[in-house]
Amino acid sequence: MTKDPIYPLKLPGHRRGIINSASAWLAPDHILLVTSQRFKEEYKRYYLRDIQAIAIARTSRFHLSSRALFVLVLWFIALIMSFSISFMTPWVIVAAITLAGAWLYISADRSCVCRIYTAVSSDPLPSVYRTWTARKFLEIVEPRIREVQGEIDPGWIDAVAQRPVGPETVRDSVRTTPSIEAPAIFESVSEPPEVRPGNLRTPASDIFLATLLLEAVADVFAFSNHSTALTWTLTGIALAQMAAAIFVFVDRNRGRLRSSVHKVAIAKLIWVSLLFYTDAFAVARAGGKADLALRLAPGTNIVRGIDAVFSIAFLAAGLVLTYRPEPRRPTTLLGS
Amino acid sequence: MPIPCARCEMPLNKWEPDTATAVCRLCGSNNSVRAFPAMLANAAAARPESAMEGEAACFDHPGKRAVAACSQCGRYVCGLCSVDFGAEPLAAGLPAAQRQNQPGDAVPRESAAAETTRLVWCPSCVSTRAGRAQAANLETSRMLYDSIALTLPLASLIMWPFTIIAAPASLVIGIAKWKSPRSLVRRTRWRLVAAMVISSIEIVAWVWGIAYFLTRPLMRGTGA
Repeated sequence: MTKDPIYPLKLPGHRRGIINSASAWLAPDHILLVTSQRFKEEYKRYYLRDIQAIAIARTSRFHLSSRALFVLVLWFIALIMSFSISFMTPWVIVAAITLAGAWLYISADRSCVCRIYTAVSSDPLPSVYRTWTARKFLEIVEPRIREVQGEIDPGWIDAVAQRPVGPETVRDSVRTTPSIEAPAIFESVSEPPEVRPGNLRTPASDIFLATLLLEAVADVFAFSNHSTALTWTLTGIALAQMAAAIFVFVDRNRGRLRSSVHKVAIAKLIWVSLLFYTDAFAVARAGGKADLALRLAPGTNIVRGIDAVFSIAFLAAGLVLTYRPEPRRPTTLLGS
Repeated sequence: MPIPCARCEMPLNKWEPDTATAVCRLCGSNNSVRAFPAMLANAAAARPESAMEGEAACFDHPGKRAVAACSQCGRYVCGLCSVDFGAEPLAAGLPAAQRQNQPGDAVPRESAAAETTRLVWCPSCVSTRAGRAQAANLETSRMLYDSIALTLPLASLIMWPFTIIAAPASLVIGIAKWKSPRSLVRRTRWRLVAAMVISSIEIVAWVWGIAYFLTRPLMRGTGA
């Protein structure tokens, strides 16, 4: 096994989402772009000798980073505290207005898209999305690229008028003189969206959607019927649903499932987790028995109603994601 | 102008030459562009030539003339198949004993080491990551087992009964994947250590809890 290279310098900019994140690192001869989906990292290398151009376009980016969410949670805690400590209330409101205003201003006016061009790619750098970060990024990267490639001719703007920049798909759109019809031309040469392998449905996704329907029906019956058998039936459906959701993730990861039902499964599991505690809280307030809190079935009619509505919504979303029209694959003359 | 807008990839044509900025006519974004000499370089396309009678031919394309031999397996490759990966000192691939001068050497081997040779790989060595050809086929993704191991015991706390499965699973992952490659940019094992500590605490808590509930009736019986 070869030893991993060492990336001593993390370049300015780090996009931190709830699940996804992105950062860029500088090696002696290349820039490494790291995109992370929490449990998996993907790497792209841009060799300094191959970089043709770096373009930064000012635009609005309304990204809610994990740090912003942390601030939001802190503010929410302060809001709850202000219910019992009265003098905090105006400060909490001022803080909310200030924070929201700052976020809106930065997102709307101090954001950008950074794109890096080589002969075979024109990729955005997701980690660089604020103007001050882009400026710091260029301050570090630009001298390094010039060190490797040398200085460009000052009249490069005229020189590149006759040359294609970036990969073929971008070049084709660029060769056409911009005109009113430009967007249509661009659409005609843009690559069709990537089509994932696998089926639209798998047994696991079918079972998952079926359990959503069963759960909604059982919830409705449970309004009038509070029997133990129905409660345990709901618990059984919830357990089967969780097992099916896990198999949906496996199918999606193995490439057997093409549709995005896994997103519904994630949302449903989050709701089940919330229900677990909401139920305990609701049952405790209603003076119920403690052992009910350990069940996955809704304990009160309010929670039952919310659960039924959510189940129907998740079922509708799952059906839409399964049966919505897909982007068409490019076909050959033989129709393959 | 042929440089595309960073936001919508449409051609930029309203340039300010002094500042190298341009406004996109389609989306209206103000683009600031840093251009480098690679943009003006001409890249020659690989065009393999036909092999004449008696000439060495490509291993994968018998009709094409070989331009090099794979530095890993020695197969002949044509201009289309050769994956050029720079150069290395001529004697770098030899064992240390062979690099030292021998009495019968016509050319001193130390001076031969100063010369360089092209590093060329064949497509099969690159695709199988054979030997030194591994350098031409770099990793594009890695599974982060340390993050999985850390998330399992923490996320399962949301629905704490699941910790009975998640904690041992995390411990097993932590031990089994201790030596597996981590992220290219994260250098430490703190996530694995934290995962193992947290999952061990959860396992101990479960063992203590089960032992307590099993022994409680006995203790009551002893007390009575």
